[in-house]
Amino acid sequence: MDPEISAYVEHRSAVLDQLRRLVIDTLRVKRPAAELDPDTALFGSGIGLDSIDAVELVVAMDMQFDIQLANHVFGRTEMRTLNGLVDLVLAAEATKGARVVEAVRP
Amino acid sequence: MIRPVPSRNVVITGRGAVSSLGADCRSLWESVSAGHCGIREITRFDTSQFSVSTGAQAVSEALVAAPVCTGVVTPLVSESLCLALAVRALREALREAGLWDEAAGVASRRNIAFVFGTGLGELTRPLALLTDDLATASGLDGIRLTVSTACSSSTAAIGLGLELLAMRSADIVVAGGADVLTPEVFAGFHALGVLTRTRCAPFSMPAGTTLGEGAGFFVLETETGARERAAVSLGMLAGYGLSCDAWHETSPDPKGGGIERAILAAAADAGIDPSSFDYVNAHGSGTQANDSAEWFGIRRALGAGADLVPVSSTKGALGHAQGAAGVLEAIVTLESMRQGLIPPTLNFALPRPNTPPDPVASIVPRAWTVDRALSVNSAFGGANAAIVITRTPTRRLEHPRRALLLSGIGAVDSIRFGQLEQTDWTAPFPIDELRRGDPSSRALIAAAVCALHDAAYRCTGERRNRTGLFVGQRRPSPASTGAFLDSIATNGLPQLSASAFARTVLNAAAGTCARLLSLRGPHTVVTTGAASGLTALILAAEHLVRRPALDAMLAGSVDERPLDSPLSDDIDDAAHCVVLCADHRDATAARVDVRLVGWGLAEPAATDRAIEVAFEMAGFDGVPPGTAQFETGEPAHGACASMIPLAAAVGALRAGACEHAVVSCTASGALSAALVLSR
Repeated sequence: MDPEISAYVEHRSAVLDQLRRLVIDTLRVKRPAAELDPDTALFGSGIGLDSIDAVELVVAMDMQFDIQLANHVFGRTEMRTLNGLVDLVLAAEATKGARVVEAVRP
Repeated sequence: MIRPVPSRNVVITGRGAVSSLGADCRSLWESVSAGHCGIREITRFDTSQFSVSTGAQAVSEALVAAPVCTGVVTPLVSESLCLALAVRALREALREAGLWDEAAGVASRRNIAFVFGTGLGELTRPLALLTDDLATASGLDGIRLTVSTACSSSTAAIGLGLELLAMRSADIVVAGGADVLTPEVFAGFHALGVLTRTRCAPFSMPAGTTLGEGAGFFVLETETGARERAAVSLGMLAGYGLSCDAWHETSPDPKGGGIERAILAAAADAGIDPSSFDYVNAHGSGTQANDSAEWFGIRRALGAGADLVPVSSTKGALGHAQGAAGVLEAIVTLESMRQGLIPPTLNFALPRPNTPPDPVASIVPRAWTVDRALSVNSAFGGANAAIVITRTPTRRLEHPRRALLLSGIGAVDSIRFGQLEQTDWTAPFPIDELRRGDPSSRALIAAAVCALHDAAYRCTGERRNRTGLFVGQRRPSPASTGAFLDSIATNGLPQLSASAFARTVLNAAAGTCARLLSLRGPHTVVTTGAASGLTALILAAEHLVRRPALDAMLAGSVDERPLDSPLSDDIDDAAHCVVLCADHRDATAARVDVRLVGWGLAEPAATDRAIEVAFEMAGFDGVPPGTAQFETGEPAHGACASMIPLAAAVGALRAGACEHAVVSCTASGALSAALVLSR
């Protein structure tokens, strides 16, 4: 595989894992990480998150990835699934220059 | 034998208001008439870190007695602000009612009851102490009841003031509330994304609310009492209704079911048809979620003619004065009725979908004859309250008092309390329903589940609307308050934890309990120190006994010990709950029934009088033979303190150790409470 693509896939998967931990630890969703499918709806009938969780999630993502989503306007569509959240994080990271996820791990 | 008592007509004889539109009622009404908007740039604290900078601060004239504050408002300062606003409004109300002794600077009559509603819960001393300070400062020495259901606090306080008069626990009641605009509350609402960048425009584009503050009070008394002392009646307080959405911590039931139930209960209490309201002063907070849900609820309650009824919100002018919103709106509503001019919805530009067709979109009041007005408020935790104000007396229905059974009791002690965090007892509930629950919520729910099981009462189907929950609580969960403050310390005000913020209201545990157990009927949270649990129980009994639309009421209390807190004052973890049923007999239970036959509330340090009232209601001439006494003595601080002797009394009656039991609480500085149970 192209090393650039492979690095991208690896980074994407690392961000996804971190987001899963956020959902489990910060939002106290009692499910094993493996059960949190990246394409399952986070809100409503899926995982069951709500508007308060959305606020918590954005703040937690800003802290975790050192990005600033809170100041941007985006809707439910972008936050619908874990994959959507990964896209948001990657896009936010891209706008402020490349950043290795490992570097922001506590 | 419980005898029916005639209902008493209640009149309003005094008003006091402090708000962003003026330091008294007259300037409030003049501003409303002139179309003035009290929303401005916030000057009390720095808003530069937020995307919103507007608020409706009380006029500076009203803050003369308040401490000067720069930068962050400390808890003590926010409490002093609240006191300053409330004392001023309280005195104005007593003065108008002719109950203020100018020379002495106190109320001119003894034994005036005080019902204080405030949402201000997260950072202060226990709220009952704030109420004590206010009552003492104004020389009010009757019953002191604190009501805290966030943004419907003062509406509920007015309703419970009416209840105290109806149950003859007082002849004159001062009821209302106060709340202040603090950086914490501002940041909390900001985090939830419900603040508008401009000015609150109810029912209109753009959606969003503007926080405000203020204080307001009514003097309420019986019609006959007012006539005897030649007090001028300004209007009638004809009825009230409470309910719970049982839906979500911060969002309303989108179909407005809770609003509908509160309105229907208020209309029934007033003895009028819900279709006969000619004006509705809506909560109309301006948020996307509230305005459409509220309109659905109003329309369902008022029926086909609702589209023709003017429904306006004064929050465009006053901002959202939180716990004080209801009483300020009720004061405007009363004056509207007197003047024949209904207040406009300010800042209205473009209607949002599913909002009232006639929001009185204007900057000036509309000439309109109002004989029966409805004022509605909703709050975090799903707590709704509605009051009915009328020009002339209504025919309050004389429902006979029903026999009540204390059919179930449940408790969580300090050992089990901690275990609730670990064990998987929430399995019967839908997935993750309790993931945001704090220890107080978990313990209250566990106690309520035990009580429902003990009563063999299944709250399902239509019964969910006919079963309510009253809770006596001293302060919000210290775990949630701690998480809230920690999030501010760690992330800063703009990025505080929205979920912890939503749990810092005193009614958070009650709201969560009602949601999980589907208790959609009457709902409120009161605090009276050590008597909190017993007070909630007595008010629940009074609510149930005269309302045939109800099947059962749960009454609970919960205490959570603060961890490593200097504020700790020997409170132990505990939760209690009882189930009161009307005409419900569990045929399968092998044990004897325990009947709740009498109850009484009286001013502080008058337990003998409360006991006397309770025995009189029970139809006993003095203490009958075979009566055992159970009481909460000194020292006791927790809300659950008065529930422990109650549990002992129920146990003794079930075991046949006594025929009757009298349970009382002498340990509260807020009031005296007693009830009588029989086998």
